[in-house]
Amino acid sequence: MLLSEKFLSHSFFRDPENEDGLRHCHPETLYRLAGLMVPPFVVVALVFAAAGLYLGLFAAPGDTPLGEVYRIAFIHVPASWMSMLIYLAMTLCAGIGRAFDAPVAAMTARALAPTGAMFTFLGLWTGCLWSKPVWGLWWIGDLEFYSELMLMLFYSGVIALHTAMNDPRRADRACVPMAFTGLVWVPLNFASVQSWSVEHAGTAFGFAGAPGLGFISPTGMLAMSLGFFAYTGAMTLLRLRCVILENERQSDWMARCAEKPL
Amino acid sequence: MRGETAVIWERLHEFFAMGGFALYVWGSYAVALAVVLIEIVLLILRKRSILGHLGWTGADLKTPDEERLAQHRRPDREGVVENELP
Repeated sequence: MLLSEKFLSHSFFRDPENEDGLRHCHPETLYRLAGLMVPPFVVVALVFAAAGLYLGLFAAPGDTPLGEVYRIAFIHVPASWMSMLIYLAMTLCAGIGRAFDAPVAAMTARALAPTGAMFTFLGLWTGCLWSKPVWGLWWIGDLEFYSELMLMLFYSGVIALHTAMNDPRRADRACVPMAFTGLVWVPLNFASVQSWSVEHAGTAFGFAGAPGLGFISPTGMLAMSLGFFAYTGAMTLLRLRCVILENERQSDWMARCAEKPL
Repeated sequence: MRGETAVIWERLHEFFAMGGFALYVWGSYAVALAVVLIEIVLLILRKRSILGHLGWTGADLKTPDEERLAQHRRPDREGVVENELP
């Protein structure tokens, strides 16, 4: 027996009403589970964001080659990471939803997109605010700028499709090729920051062994990232609950919960 | 204690001036806070909207108890058949 099969055969995951089904693939179970998971995510987000803000604004030293402006990085780096990570998660969920005909996976992809778009906007905005004082221009036609902009456009496309199409299940299917097309910009964005852009601050002082800001700054960025990650979890689960209610409003289980046809 | 963990802001106005980069640094932090707040407000409005269209204002999917749900059902939507969101 595969480890994954053994794991999923645990009674926590089995659907008592469906021999082959997984309990959390049922929207009702997922709705309740999502509700239970929100408070821990909120607590973790608040703790790590507070720690990150303290480290970034108060503990990290200011006497760097760039001066105080580098404190933008405590927002910019975590936001950019989250924009890429959420795009991967969204595409994975959309693909699983299509491949295995799992509506809850497609609903999760739908719930992830707005938070991803928000972090991508934040990455672009802070990138421009970094670019102006450091390089003298608000916008530089480098790959890291364009790839982040393209991610923004693909997030917008996924959201726009769902807004424009009346049938959410058809919109889910239409989103899959779009999401997979945009996937190419994730490694390009990552690589542009990591390696071939000498200008990018990631190589000026960062994680790649450059003589930089010592221990505190990477720790602050890591704390901020974990805070943003937990925030994404909380927002996505809350939005997933809304999506489930919107999507399933004519279903049997919701009628059962309300004891009247909805 | 000196070194990396020393107190780096000796005066409050230095903190707000950010070494002359106040516009860029605070512009980043303010917009980050703003978009987070906007997202939370939009999410609350969305939840309220869908619960309103279901006629479940205030109630959530906690129990299928008819009496409990009836308490929270808006009286002005009683008997309204709602299948469509606008």
